[in-house]
Amino acid sequence: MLRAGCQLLNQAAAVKTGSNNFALEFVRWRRKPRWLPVAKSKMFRVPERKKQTEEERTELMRLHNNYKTQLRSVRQYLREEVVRQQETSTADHIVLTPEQEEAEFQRCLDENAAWNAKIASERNVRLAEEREAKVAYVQERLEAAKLRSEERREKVDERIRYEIEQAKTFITRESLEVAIETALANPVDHNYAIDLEGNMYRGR
Amino acid sequence: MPFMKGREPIRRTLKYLNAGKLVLKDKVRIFSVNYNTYGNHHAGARDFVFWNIPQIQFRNPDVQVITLKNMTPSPFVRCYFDDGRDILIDIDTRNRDEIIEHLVKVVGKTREQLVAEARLAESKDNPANFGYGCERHCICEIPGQVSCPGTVPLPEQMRGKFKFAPK
Repeated sequence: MLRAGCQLLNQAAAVKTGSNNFALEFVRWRRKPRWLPVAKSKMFRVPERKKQTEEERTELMRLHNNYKTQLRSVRQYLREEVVRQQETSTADHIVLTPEQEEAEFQRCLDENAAWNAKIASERNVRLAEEREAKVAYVQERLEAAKLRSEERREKVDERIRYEIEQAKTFITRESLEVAIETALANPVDHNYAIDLEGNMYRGR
Repeated sequence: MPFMKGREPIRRTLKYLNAGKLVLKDKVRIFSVNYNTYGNHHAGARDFVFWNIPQIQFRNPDVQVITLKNMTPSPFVRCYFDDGRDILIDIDTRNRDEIIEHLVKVVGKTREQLVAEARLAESKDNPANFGYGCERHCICEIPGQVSCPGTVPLPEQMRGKFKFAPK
């Protein structure tokens, strides 16, 4: 019974795998495994290239180009999205450590110090110029004032001299009697007329 | 204030205010400008106050921005930091473009920082975003959207078990 069963099994196996015991034939996969070399009969076979018509070729090229373009754009979009996601999900790259922050602050301070120094030197030059201009202006005004006061004194002196000159003919209390005598002795008559030629016509 | 009234009302437009380049660092708490209303070497500072102070205050709502007039022989900007230090920036005989450029370099945030912060704010502010780091972790939290199939089974017309079932 057992033997009969074995025979049956053998028969079934022979049917399934073929009668050649030497040819290793796989049941599970119906082709040559990767590790077996090319069959001898196929060793020098050159597969024929499939002929493509012109329109088929162009159509395939069009499809290929379309596919490549679309895939490239998708890939680029995804790449940008990843970058954006990294930037937005973590704020690490903008949050500086205290040391970095301090260094950055020092850099700003140094830059500002250089800027301030430059402005200070420019301002000193400007202030010096302004001071000189001011000194010159004040000097000029002082000289002008001096000139003016001298002129004034000159004018006053002139007037004084004139007045002194005039004072010689003034009627004083002592010469009052004499002046009255003189006036009475020489009466002046203003009652006259003058024509266009300058001739005087006395009335009395 | 009515819209087109006053001196240079463009200073009050949103576009102009948002175009300000100077966004101060987080450390800056007070931004003060000292200048005179007369004098040639204060001209740049006057222009700066007239044109750029509105932008600075708009872009930095948490910073106290003050201007002090006619108290100084030469104009300067002084920034006070939160750690008690301060920085003094001389702006004598500089025009307002040079001033703002220097301020951006010294007390302003860098462009990269601004871009990063804008992106961060955008991702937080956009209510359509969901997932890691957002306000909601899944779209299913919105009323009217399909619930997560882990908690509630999908509607039958969406499930292959019913879609492809033999009739």
